[in-house]
Amino acid sequence: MNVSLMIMSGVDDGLLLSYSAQDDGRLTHSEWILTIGRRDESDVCLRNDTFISRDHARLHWRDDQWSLEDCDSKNGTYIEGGDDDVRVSGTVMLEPEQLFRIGRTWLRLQPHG
Amino acid sequence: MTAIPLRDVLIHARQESFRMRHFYLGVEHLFIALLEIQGGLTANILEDHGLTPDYVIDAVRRKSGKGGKHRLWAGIPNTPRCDIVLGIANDLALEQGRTDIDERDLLRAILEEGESMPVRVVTRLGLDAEAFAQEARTRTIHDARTPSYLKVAFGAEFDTDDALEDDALFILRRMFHGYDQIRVERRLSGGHTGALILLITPIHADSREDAAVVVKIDKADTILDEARRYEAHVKNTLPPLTARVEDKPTAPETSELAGIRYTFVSSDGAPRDLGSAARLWRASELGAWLKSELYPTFGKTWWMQRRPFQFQVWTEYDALLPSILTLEWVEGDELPPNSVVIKDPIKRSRVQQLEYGDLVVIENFTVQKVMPDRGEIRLAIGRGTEAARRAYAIDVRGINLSETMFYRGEAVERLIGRVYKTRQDTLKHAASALEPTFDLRAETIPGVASIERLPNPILAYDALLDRTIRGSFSRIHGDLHLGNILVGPNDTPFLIDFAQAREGHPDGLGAAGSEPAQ
Repeated sequence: MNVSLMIMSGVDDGLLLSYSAQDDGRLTHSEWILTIGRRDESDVCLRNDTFISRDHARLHWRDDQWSLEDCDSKNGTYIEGGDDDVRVSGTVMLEPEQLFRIGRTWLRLQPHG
Repeated sequence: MTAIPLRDVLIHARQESFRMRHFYLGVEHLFIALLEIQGGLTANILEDHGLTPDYVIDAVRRKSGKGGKHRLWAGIPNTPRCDIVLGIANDLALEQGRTDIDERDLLRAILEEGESMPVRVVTRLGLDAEAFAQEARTRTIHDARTPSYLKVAFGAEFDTDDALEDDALFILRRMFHGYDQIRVERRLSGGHTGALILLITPIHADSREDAAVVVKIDKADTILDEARRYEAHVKNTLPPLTARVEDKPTAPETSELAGIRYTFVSSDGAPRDLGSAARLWRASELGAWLKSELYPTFGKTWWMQRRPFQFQVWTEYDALLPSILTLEWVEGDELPPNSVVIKDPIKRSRVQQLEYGDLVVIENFTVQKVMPDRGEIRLAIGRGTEAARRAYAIDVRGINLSETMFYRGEAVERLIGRVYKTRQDTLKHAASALEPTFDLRAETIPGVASIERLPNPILAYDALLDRTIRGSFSRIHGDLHLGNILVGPNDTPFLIDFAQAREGHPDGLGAAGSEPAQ
């Protein structure tokens, strides 16, 4: 199992980050978790955005579906909505190609990760 | 005019990056720089699609947001996507046998790459990316365009003492491009917003007259917002015979104003506003018309769509009051000692106790309006362009906006100011200006025919805002008055001016269906 994340804004706009279940994150019998934050140990480590918390959010792969969890981050996790961005509280389902924002940084799950 | 070279675009792009405290060069900065070129290719194309450069620039800025206080790296690095775009632009230039990239190469490259935030933003504003790319490839670049000459005549009912300003004429010439002439029949009474509303007959070169249309001219942002509200709330709810917004708004980049055109399905005879019609009617006729024409025509899909709705009065009605506070801007964002912090949820009682000169810190507001000529911005609580229905507005004055940039829809984490006046001051001042013959400080004021005394609204309104009301929820026009209800041929009712259309509480306090909740 592999997945790629594309950074869609900020100084790293256009950068592609790739992860595999074997080497990255935490894999249990039921799910694969990737942590997102400014902390060096974060699986998806985003240092160039001061609006990102040390432990900001988590991606879950469970039952063939991605979901996004906000870890009580200071500046919030958002899903791109119609007019306004929608703040994530708790966990929400994530569709491939859906844009989501961690602090000020927009990210996208690549369709064919 | 020749195409602007890349090096000039880069100067603007870097400035934009600094203003936004980004300190990198991204595709969003390149795109905004392209839009800032007066009469440039990019602005030109967007304008033909009814979008002003300023509107698009603010939408792009909202998407990326201002950067933080601290620079994390030296210099201004290019983003990976920016490098890709510049690479494509370079190829495009070479294909044309040039070594220097120009504005067209850059725009085409941005559209070809296709994944950047600005492209996403313009697509979401309704622009077709493929059509955009096609125009970017083929459109000629020329000087600020001279619209073809359109004759403007005035009908007998137009008050020539109250002439139209050049800005408004410019919008009309652009809007009726292709006609030979227009006749401005008369002004319709505008709302309190100060919009210009005109009844206009377009005339072809062979003297054939088209059906009269109603044109509203106002600040570009207001018009573009209205077009969006019309799409979202109004379009699919109108009765078959009524005023419709058929075209994109006319919003030239060189004007602060824009126009929108309402066309009428029924064509013979020109509509007049209800204010003028009512003057010719007896009171009973007016009542009968409201009851048998206006209400049945619009009620079904509008205010009769009632769903139970319990709400606190302020959520729906605070926005109608003057701003809760006006501050004099203080530069910097370090929290000063002894300052009052204002953030969600707002405690009005605390705000009302503030006095002139008090230091105030406001947190997590959204910029609703930027008034560059007055050095003033208006903020509302919350996030997004609809920020809590614009309740609890705060005005901040004394900002040097050429040095410190604010953009509409910007989320402001923290801003410091000194109290200049409170809402209570504003209301008292406005009431005194009316020179009342009674004491404004008294608990009650003289009443009307059957009620001797009434509660003094200046003292009573605040407590009312905290009441919980059990009412209803439906689609509402939001700014209904005698000027934007029109009476057409055969006394058909029309509505225009959808700038405040939304879903909300449709009836006044005390009207049928509203009662204080326990």
